[in-house]
Amino acid sequence: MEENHLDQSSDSNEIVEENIFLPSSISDEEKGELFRELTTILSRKWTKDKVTVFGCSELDLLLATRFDVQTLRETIEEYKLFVQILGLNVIDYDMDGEKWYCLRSSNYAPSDLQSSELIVLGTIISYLESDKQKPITTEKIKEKLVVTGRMKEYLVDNSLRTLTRLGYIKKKQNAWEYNYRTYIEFGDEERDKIVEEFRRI
Amino acid sequence: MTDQDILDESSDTISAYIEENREWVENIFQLVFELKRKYGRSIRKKEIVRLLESEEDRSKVSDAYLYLQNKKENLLDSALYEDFIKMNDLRENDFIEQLLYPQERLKSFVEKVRSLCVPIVYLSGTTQTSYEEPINNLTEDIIELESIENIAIFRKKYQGFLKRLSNNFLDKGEIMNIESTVKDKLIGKRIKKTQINNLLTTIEAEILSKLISEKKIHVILENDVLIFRTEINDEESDVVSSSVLLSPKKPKVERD
Repeated sequence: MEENHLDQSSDSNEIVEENIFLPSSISDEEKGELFRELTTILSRKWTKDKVTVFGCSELDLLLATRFDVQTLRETIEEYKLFVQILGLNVIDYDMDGEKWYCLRSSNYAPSDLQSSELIVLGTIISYLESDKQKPITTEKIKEKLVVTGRMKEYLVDNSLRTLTRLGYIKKKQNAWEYNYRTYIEFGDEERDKIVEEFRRI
Repeated sequence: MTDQDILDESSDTISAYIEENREWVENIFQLVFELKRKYGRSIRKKEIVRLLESEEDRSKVSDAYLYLQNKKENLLDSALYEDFIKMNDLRENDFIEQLLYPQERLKSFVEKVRSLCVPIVYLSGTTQTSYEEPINNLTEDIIELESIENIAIFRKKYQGFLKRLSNNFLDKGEIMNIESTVKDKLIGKRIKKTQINNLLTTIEAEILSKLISEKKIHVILENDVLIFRTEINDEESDVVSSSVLLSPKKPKVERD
């Protein structure tokens, strides 16, 4: 994959080499301007197909800056160092086969989610992590949370809806799956810890 | 007799004893090994071994260190001992957790999940911009149909522009007729440039253009006034144009 990609970029280099904007040729002032705009665009919240998405797609950035892919990635690498001082990370994630960039805090930061939503998300994570083959249906979640009297049914439904809208989970053929945001906000280790913690409830 | 001598003697006796019961030592090692496996698995799966059972197992291997000789066996023994401690911790924690109300356990779960989350940073606000895909696929064009009422209003408003110009094929007689009407309207008259637009229909204008190019009618421009004639002097022929440009101002165009 990478080789192909490199080939493509080198091809495009040959064609548009004349009016290309290499980072070295960007003045400091222009770079400052670019970084300011990047901060704005990467901390943006959108709704796409009724799901919240964050930041900006690579294609959009390419169209806006008119860089080639390699130059854009180099610029973003430089931008990463720039925002590290502020305690932010530039994260890329995959969205329907398209690369998106967004900002994430390096440390703990207040989350979007209410406690009921965190419970439901934690339940889904621990089910999915402990057995990836088994499909997680809404009934299974309710069996764990509603039937045992821990939560009300409407609260579970509401939380599932909110989580879907915020891009944490998605439904595929009646079974719940992770969406892009769970992967961003919960790493592998964290998910394992959640599984451990889930055994106690 | 020093203490060291006594110790040496005792170790000598023990080693002699072990030599005698070699088979038994192997049995002990086997027991330690199996217990280590059992507790290792239980701890990994967080399965709690009951206190009585655990105590029995411990008493079984409490003297094992006396019989295990090489380093590997000793390490296994100490690992088993550590597992006993871990199992005890696990059991105690579980017991304490069971004393909590389910709601409190749920609450602590929430706190744990929340603390493990490293969220995305974004500019908060109530309004959300909807994301539209950049135009990268030009093959699909979606045309939104407006409601029928809107279309009717639109057509009514721009009636004049929307009228189609039909291709009318005129007979020779009809052309002759129009030629005569054009001649009646124009010949021998002085008409202002601006007025001529309102005077002629499209077809009449075309016929006039034809007549001029065939030199049946001559037009002379004097300042803003056009003079139409059938005949012309040779001296004036240089300044005669060969066609008429019409720019009808009103959309009211008759077809016939």
